[in-house]
Amino acid sequence: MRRNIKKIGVWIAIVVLIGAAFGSGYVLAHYLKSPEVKEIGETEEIVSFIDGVGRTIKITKTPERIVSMASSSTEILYEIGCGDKIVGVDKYSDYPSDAENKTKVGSCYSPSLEIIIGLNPDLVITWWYGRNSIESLEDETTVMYINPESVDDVMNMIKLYGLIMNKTSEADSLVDEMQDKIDNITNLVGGLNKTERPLVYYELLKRGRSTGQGTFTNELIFMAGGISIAADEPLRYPDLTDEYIIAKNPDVIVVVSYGAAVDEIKNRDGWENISAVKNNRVYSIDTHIVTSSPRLVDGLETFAKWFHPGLFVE
Amino acid sequence: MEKTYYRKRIRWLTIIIGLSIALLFTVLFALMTGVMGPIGNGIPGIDKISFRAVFEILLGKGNWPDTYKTIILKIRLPRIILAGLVGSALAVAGCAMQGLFRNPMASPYILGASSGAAFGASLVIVLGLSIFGIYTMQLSAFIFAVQAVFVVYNIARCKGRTPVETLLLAGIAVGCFFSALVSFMKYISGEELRSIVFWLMGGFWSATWDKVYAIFPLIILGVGVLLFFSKALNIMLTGESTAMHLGIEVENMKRIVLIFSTLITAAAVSVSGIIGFVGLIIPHVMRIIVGPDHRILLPSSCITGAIFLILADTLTRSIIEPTELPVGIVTALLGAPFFLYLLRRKKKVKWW
Repeated sequence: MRRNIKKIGVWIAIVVLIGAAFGSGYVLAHYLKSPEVKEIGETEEIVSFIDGVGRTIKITKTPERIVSMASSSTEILYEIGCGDKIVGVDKYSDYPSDAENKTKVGSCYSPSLEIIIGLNPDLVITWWYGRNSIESLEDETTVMYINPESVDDVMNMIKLYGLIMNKTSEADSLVDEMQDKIDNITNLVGGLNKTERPLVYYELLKRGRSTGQGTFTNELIFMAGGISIAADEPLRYPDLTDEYIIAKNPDVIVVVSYGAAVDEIKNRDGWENISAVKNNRVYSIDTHIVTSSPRLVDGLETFAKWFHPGLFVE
Repeated sequence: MEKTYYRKRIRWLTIIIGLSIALLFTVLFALMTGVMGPIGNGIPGIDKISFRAVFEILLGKGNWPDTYKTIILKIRLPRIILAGLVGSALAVAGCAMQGLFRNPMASPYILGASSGAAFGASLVIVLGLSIFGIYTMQLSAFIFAVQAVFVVYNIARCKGRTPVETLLLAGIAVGCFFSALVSFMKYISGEELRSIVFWLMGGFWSATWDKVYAIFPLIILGVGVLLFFSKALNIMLTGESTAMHLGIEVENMKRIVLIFSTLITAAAVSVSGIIGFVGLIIPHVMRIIVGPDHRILLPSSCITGAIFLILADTLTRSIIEPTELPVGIVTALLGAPFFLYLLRRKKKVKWW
């Protein structure tokens, strides 16, 4: 009997521990915020801001040697005319093509710290989820983590880079240019109500895997006048069953360029009656334009043309 | 009798000294190797570090750029020491577990420590926890690793005894349970998925002095205690009842060996992720080379484990620049063929 009580105690301890971890996790997970920009005028600091993991970053001198481990940041820096300040990039930074000539430092998950230090950078930019592998450099140089989750975040990030790099006018004009293109689209489709929006099934690498609540892709789909069939799914990347997809009967299917072939999707068993397949509205999209980079407006325009072919006549 | 005893002692001493010298050279070689040189490809447009620079920086002499000092003292050195500590810990723990269970399949992970740690780490990665600062993940991995073995031990205990078969089976079951939880964490994760995958493959790219300081005392203590029990482990090989008749407090000893094996395994796993193979194979390799006596097997496994993991990690740093290969891949790719070769060559080896 006493032994049983002991065993029950052990199990309760496990359950409580796991429960506590989950509970505190959900509270703290929302702590991760997007960059906030605060300009501090005449002091010696050029700019200070909260980065994507909640650290306060102070930039006191315009960076001259940047290592960018986020391809979208690489793109932004090139766009605002700071490509020459980049000394190292991650292996995914391939746009614009000049980025390919920069020293490669690996991926943000397993970078070579030695190459990074060897490049002697004064600013290292990386994704928030790459922190585990690089936090030991936080004492050596300025490391900022980014966590853009929405189009607004991207705009703010561009402005932030403008401040950091002392290129505010370039950044502002880039943002304005993007905003114009976005406005052109939202003026036409922004007012649509739910029934007027085509249902979109966005497929990632694997059959059924789509984008759920709070993802950047779903925001773009919505801005382009569509609505994702998984828009309310709590998981960020849910695996949808065939049954779910067929029941939702999407009007448009978009698959990422490195995923399944369009023809394969059209020929899937049981999918022949899905509206998108019947009406031949299955498309493949270049994933490079559905990211947190300035090219997101291209993605937006592509989506809008597919979702509302009547409204956007070329 | 007396004479053979001395001869054995001298042989053992030679082995230990030889291995220690090998370890020293391994460390020096590893310190020299890296993209920034002296042994390495170098980065275009940037001077490589010279051999002289490495020695002078190590001795605290000379006027070298801060970049060099950072690379040698803050990136390479802690990483090498960490790899050495983890290699020793896993090899010794594996050796002790194999002796205790009298089972060649036993490894430090057999009682669920790795699955527990994997769950602890993935939990923190997915939920983005930072309750205990930047080392929350390591702490969580450690706690869950110990927790898993604690549960296994308590489940297997029956009327004051812990039969090894029950321990092994309970270990496998609890391991499966935690593996399923890890799969679940992977399933609900988003961008963090690859962080989990990388952690599961194990590696030292995030080595810091803090991590060295955290696990150093634990591993030295644990390895020391297990070395102390090498004679008892020898007697255990004759079977539990025989050992009992020879005056070994079997249950007590089992508990102590398990506690310290688990502690050093958990410490190792928490800073490096799950590095397979070292804990399983190094003891076998050493058994082939030095024989099954734990008094020499344990210390020689300890040093060889360190050498092996430092070498493997040095390879991961230089094999596919600039990205680093997870060291777990290298240990298995290098170790398995070598082990199979030894196995073929010495088929009639006396395992136990």
